[in-house]
Amino acid sequence: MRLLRLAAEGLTVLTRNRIRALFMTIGTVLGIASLTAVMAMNDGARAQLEQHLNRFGADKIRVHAGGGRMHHGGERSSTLTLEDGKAVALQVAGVESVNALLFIPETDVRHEGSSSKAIVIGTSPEGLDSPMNELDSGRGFDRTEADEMARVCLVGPALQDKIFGGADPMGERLMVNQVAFTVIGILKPQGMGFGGMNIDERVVIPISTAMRRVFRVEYVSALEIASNDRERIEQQAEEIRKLLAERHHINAGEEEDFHVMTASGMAEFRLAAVNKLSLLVGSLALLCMLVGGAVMMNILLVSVGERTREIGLRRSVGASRNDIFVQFLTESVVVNLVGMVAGIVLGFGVALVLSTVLPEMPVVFSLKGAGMAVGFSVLVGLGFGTLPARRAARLSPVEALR
Amino acid sequence: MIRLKRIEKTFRNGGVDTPVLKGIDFSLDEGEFVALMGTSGTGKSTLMNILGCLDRATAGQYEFDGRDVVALDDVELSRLRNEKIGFVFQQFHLLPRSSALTNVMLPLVYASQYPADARERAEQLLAMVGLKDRMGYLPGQLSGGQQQRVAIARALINRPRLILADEPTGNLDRQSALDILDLFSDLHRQGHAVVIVTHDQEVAARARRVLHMVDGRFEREEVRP
Repeated sequence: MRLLRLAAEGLTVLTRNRIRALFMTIGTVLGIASLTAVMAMNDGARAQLEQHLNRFGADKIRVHAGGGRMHHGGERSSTLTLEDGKAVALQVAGVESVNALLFIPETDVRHEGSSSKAIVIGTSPEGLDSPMNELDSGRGFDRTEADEMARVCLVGPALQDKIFGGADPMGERLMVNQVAFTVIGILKPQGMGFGGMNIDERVVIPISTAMRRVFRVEYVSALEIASNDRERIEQQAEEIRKLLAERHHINAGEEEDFHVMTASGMAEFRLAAVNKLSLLVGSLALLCMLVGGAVMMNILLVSVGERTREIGLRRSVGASRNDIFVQFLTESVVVNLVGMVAGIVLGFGVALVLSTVLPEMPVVFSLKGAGMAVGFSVLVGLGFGTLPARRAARLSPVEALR
Repeated sequence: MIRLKRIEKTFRNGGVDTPVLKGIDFSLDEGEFVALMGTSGTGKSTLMNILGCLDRATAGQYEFDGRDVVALDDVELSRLRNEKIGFVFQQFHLLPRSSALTNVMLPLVYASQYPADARERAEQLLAMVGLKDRMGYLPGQLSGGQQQRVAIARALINRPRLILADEPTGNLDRQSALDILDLFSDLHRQGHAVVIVTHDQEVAARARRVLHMVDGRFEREEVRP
């Protein structure tokens, strides 16, 4: 109770001198703001990655046709084949299934008067199980339809709007590259970029139909390989790379005409970049808080000097050394806590604004970041408040009153 | 109430010892009105600081209400100051950004028990010293005499038995000084023990007992009926 009164007295002094309090908080506000913003971006990046990985599948290995950078079918390469897929299934241990995919972007699709460009994806019926191909309504195609090269298709929600004007397309006819298809299902929105195209404007058809009837090609765009041994997935990826290099007659040192990816490999690469940035900005935030703490300490030291008489008076009316110490320490801790709250609000606000300007950089309010903010500001408040508080407490009342 | 025996105080400065009090024997009874007189540098303020438990003697014994003050630690001394002693200073020492009322209530911040009627008490005291309609004023908005009256009200808020005043009229014009002295006489009549440090004969004339200090010792004592 008495302690509360002392703390309240420290607080009153602060509110009576707002400009001074403002200067004392600046370091903390900026430090905590940058910390909060960094943590929000870091957590946002992690959450986004996790989402991507869930779609990709932690037990999946993907082989994309075309070498160098990762291409989502943007660049055609005709060297990856169904036979490559069969070879992987037969020769690499721990492979559960191989699903071949064909991506043909910028394909003409038409329904009655309206037409558009869409990305056509050919897949096996098993490939429909991927979370990427979740159905909103209707049904997928089955093995029999795939074997018969049936002309059935699933359409993305954005394409439904574009071609069918939002009307129910079920059972309607859709011309894909001048071949007539029947719409049997509508896909759920994914909202993910796909090589510069809107993935919700896609048409999914059996890969057999795509290869033989629509595009008449012998190659595939990608192989999606499911492993039944998650622990060995990186080794499997390496085995697949070697096998395909051999099959494609690529010598050591030459650039490969395909690209093998795993979820964790992709995640590690991206997370490393995120972490590097976070570490940099995080250390800047810490530095900012330390500088701010030093500034606060100096302001408090000056204020102890200015308030010598006040301290002497308080001692004369019954404040012990301890009381003066508590009162001054309250000032620095409260200043830091207030600065912290302002910093969290400011930092998250900045992060939110950034994420609306740069949509590929999502933010998530980070509880870990908030925890760190509380910890740091209390530490700075106590750490840099102790010296001035001790100096105030040690003043001799007789000399202070002079 | 108070008993000092052979109190000595020596200040050490740069290796040089300066004795300021050279063996003071002094006792003060409940409700007495005493003036400490002397020219500046005779040690009267130092004695007052020791009496008020703001400073410690270098040697000697000090009893307050039968308690050995020399043995008390900082927390106990602070509590003694808070509960039993009210100070009035020459420079008033009010908090400049706080109202008269808040200034009067300041000692209660450090009291071990915060009284439920703190505000009423402070208002009554301000009314008693004639500042009923100035309670919300800041010290800068008050005259010197009014500020000193706020300081007296502050000294009384915790109902101390001893009032210590160090040159309380030193910074005041003549009329204000007389008003303040009247206040001290009233306090004495109400039963407070009052010790005033002064070099002013007119101030000392109010006291029943006047102790003249010269060079760290009591030189003579006058007692009036």
